[in-house]
Amino acid sequence: MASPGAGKTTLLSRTIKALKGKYRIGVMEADVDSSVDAETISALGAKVIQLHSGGLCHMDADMTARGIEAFDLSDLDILFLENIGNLVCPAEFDVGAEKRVMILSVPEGDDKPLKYPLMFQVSDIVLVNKIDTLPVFDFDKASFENNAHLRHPDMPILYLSAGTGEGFEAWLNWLTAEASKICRPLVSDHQEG
Amino acid sequence: MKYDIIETKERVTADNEKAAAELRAMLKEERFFSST
Repeated sequence: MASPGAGKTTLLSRTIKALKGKYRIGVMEADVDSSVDAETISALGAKVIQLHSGGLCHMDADMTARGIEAFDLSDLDILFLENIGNLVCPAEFDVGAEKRVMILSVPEGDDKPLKYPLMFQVSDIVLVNKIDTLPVFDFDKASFENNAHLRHPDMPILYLSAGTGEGFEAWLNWLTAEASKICRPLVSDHQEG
Repeated sequence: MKYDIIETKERVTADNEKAAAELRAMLKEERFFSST
């Protein structure tokens, strides 16, 4: 979940590249219209579908279930849903996911937890993306962390750049650790079988 | 076509919390999520 342009698809792309051969990844791209993101993910060789909401500002559990029908779950270890870009509606509708990841990009500002409390309350982790732009934006890390933890105490916050790869290892470590807790232990099984 | 396009605009879930719980249960049943 994230605002438009925060870097959801770029983050997914780098994640897919980094985990290729280790995890079998599927992606559900959700947008009001277009298949721009599905094209990007498809080019990486990951199984992807494009969901069109036709104007709705979020996915819900029923829409997600329809998307899942397009996958053979026995062929996947991790299935991502890239929700429609905004910080309001996606937070309000449980899509049946086990983990919710929020991306906030540096240019959006450190005050967003104050403006969009629910998004921070329901997310399991916040990734602060585009840290390579910190020198040109007025983004105060301490202020952001205070604001975010006001909404969700102890929530993990990672700083990274999906564009340059800076800080990306910590995200991959968090993701793979969580996946090992909640997904089938197939990381190596399917390679050995 | 390298991917499916699914139009979801006519789907409006009456009880989303219930639907989400059912979806999570289905994914556990499929063993996509661990039951622990």
